Amino acid sequence: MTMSTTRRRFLRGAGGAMLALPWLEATHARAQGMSATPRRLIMVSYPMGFVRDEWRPTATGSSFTFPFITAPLEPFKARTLIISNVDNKVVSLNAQHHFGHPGKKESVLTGTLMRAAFSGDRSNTLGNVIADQAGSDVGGPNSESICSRVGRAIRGGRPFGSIDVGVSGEANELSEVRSDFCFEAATTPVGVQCNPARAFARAFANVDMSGGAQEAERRRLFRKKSALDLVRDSFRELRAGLNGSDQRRLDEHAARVRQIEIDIVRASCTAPMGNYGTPSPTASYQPFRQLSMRERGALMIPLLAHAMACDLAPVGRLEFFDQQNPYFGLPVVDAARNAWRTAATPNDWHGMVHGDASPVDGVRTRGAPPAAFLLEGYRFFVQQLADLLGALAALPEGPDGQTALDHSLVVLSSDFGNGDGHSSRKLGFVLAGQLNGARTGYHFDGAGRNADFYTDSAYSSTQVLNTIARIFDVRDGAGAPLTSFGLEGYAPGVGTLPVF
Amino acid sequence: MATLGLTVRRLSWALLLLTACQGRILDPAVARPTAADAGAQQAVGDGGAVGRDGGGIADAEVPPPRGVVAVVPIRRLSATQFHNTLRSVFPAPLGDALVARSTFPAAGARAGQVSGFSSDADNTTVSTADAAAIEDNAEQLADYLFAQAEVALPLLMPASCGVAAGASDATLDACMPSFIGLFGARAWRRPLSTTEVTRVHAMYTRVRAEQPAREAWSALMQYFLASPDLLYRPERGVGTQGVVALTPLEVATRLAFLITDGPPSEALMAAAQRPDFSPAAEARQLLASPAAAEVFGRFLREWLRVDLLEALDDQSATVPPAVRDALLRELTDLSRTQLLGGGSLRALFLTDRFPVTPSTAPLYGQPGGDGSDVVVSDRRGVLSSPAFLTAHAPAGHQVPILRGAFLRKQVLCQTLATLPAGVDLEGPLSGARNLPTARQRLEPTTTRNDCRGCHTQFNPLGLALENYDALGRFRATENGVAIDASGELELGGERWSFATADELLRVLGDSRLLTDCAAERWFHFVLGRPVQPSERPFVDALAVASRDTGATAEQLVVDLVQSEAFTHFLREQP
Repeated sequence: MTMSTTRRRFLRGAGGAMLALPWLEATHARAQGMSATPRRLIMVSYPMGFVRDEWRPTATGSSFTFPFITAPLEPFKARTLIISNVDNKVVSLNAQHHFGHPGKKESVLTGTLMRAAFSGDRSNTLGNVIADQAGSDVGGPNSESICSRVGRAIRGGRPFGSIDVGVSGEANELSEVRSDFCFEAATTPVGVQCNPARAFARAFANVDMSGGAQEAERRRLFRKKSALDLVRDSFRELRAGLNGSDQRRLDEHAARVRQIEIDIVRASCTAPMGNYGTPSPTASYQPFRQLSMRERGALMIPLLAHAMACDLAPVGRLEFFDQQNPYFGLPVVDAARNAWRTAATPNDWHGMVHGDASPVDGVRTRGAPPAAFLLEGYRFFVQQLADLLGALAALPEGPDGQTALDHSLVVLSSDFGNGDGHSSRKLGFVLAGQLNGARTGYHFDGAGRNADFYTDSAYSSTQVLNTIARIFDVRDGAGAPLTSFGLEGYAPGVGTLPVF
Repeated sequence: MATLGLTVRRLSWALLLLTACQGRILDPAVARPTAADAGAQQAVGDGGAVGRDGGGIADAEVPPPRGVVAVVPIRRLSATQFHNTLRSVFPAPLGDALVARSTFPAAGARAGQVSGFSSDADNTTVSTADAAAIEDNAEQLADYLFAQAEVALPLLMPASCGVAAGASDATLDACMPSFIGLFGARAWRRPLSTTEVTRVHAMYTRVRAEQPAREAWSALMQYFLASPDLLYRPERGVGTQGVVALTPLEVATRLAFLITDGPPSEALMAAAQRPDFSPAAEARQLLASPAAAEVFGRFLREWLRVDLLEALDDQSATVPPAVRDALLRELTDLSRTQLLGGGSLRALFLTDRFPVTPSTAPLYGQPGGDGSDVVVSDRRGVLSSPAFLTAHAPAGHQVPILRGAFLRKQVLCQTLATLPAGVDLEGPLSGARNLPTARQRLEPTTTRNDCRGCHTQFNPLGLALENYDALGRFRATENGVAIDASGELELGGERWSFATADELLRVLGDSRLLTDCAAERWFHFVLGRPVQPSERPFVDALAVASRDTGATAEQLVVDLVQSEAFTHFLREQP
């Protein structure tokens, strides 16, 4: 697909005064070999953790080598910070969050607990946390995630708040899925588009502004804008006399309606090559139903990279869904999975991760050495990250041979540390691209090589979120650097990691 | 409130007496009850001195719970409620056509949850994508109305305007203010103020200044279909602080959405504006409507997580789409026959009558079925329905541990112990994996000291259901070996032994834990958020009324809608 220069280019020109300063700063800094605030944050998330000792590098500091699972990051080693052995400590505050999966995906990027775990006015403070109450692990987290916070801080004049794409492992997955990891506000998950055709259309559709169609489109937009204006006015009217929490809920919706008004001014830009098809308003996943995650990723990753390089949004998300039984498209993993599914007991990817034994050959998926298909499956997600880094590095952005990766912070995260025990301890993160002064080519280990899963880490995963906030120079309401994202008043969640 | 308050007072005494009695008869140190005792125990509850209309207990000692001390969040319409609204505010053929074209965003997948309902306030928050989908849907529906304008306008405009097909722009312009008032009142479930009519009409006028009347009218419809007054159910009540009463129209709206998943009819709105408005009487009428079974069916599907079936692949050979859809309908049908029409929660959990359809007949071991109730001898209550059993057999395999843990956590509202990180999940089972029955394969989990503390809580529940395979079909053997469904379990501080799945299901169906949990989930469902600690006394009273008075499900709903929990809310401090 070729470059299309229409209103987007015009808008870039018109908005140049607003956008030029940070751009020039970044360019200047890069030219001098310095770090700079990234222009965008891209979050890559997947469920079920990893096999720790095959994920974290062999040594801390700068002299390390990647083990099997993270080996695909080798080409980007110099631009990567590996963080291991940090605990998602906030989960320990509510007993309902301990068992199994509930609350852990929602917690890892928000740094808080599920809303139902809060009493009183349910504000996101430590004092409101209920230690244990049936059902307190449901309802979505009690605050936004770090990606939304960063997105608001660096949005500028970009047409979209975020570009959110997903890769589902389910054969029958429909288009839009609610994110398990990213939340725009308390209990409000980001909608993630898993249908490549619709994701493509949303990001890259051009409006035909020629001839008669132009006038018809102008009239349509005028009607839509008029209706939206009145909808926003009505939100203001409706909120009067309601409880404060209800008002906040309405305000959030109204703010999103306002954003739609802005988004009506659609952009066009360089779109990725690939057979994305034509979106249908009613059809489900066709023609993507039979594709594996690997094949779906091959469509979504270029799409996201191009959308980011087009500067359509300050935040991009790539989320992998279906922890139960995804179709990877990797012979080793899928063969094992298929064999297990036809056996007499229920084993699948979820079962493999949690240490079940194959009823076919009795192969255990935990212990030493871990089963090959487990390692291959986990490596898949790191490979997807590496593919995204590669796609960004291939897209020119700015002068002097700079690429989109030079202006992007890309973060890989999951909900567990070791997957076999539903562990919210000893998590790992990868930060890659432009880290604005944080160390790269570096492995930070929060607990030491020999730390077991019962030993507390000195660092919390919330401090990773604070580190991300610092990379983007996000400020709190008083204008000071944000150093305590997530649950207010929770001491283990304060401060950044010592990686600057 | 009066009815429930009286019931609560009576039942508090009854509960005290019954508890004391149980303490003597069922003290685990003295005797171990068997499943056969469950019937006798229930007989005490059913035939004791205190029934729903029983007398003789003084009223004054136990004050009735107020029923509400907490905030009720504003609720947004779910997709079903939005579509029922379309059917309500547009005449029949038009409403159905709009629903067929609607792409209103559905609530997100609840795969990660074990509790909560799709209509919860926290499950219907609006993301950017949701907001865009809502607005796009409104535009899409308005475009359809524009395309059908010559049919739609005569149906929708006030009769006094005399709008016919081909009406002039001037005729439409003249009629628009009265149309806004008429249509707005239906869409917003309340009359519009003059100011509101003026503001909405100003938008019409603005578009009209550059476009024909039909285009401007379509913009108006686009607005109404995305207006917050339609999408949300604001409740302002009467009063400025503390516990305040809903207005009658707000009560009518709560009633309609609770029982029919849709807006109040014009008749109900009119009734709400009369001085003799009776929520109880209106509730009884609504409960008789077909929509009520749909709502109760949804409640049960989401409480018991039968809605997990919705995620089954269309291509599934194990559960073909026709079977899946029939199973999803099953709890609605059970609601109609066991809960409504004079039924009860106990009946639902203890019935041996099931709606057998052509798609589900093979699962019931029946030669055929036409959807009517059939006595099935090897079933006992909703927990033995193929719908429940299939939903809790992930990837086509039943897992006793998961089934048992689900019953404990979700059906009995109990907290499960924490699984320590790094625990060896596979090692204990390594020597047992090739044994023929699940009981044998899982035996190490109940004999090893590091496992049994937790697994003795839920393994017996799951193993008792081993008589039902992943599709809920009854089976007597596994791999040629007879299935032993017997077991013992601790329930509410008492130990029970049972020999068969039927006996276990009778114990569960009669257990206090189950009715307590049902009351908690129901209250959560009604108010769209989890029960708050301060509401526990009221929820406990609901459970007592359900368990010990023989009250029908309908009567419990009628009691609830008269309570302050339903007709009042707490205004937050500014």
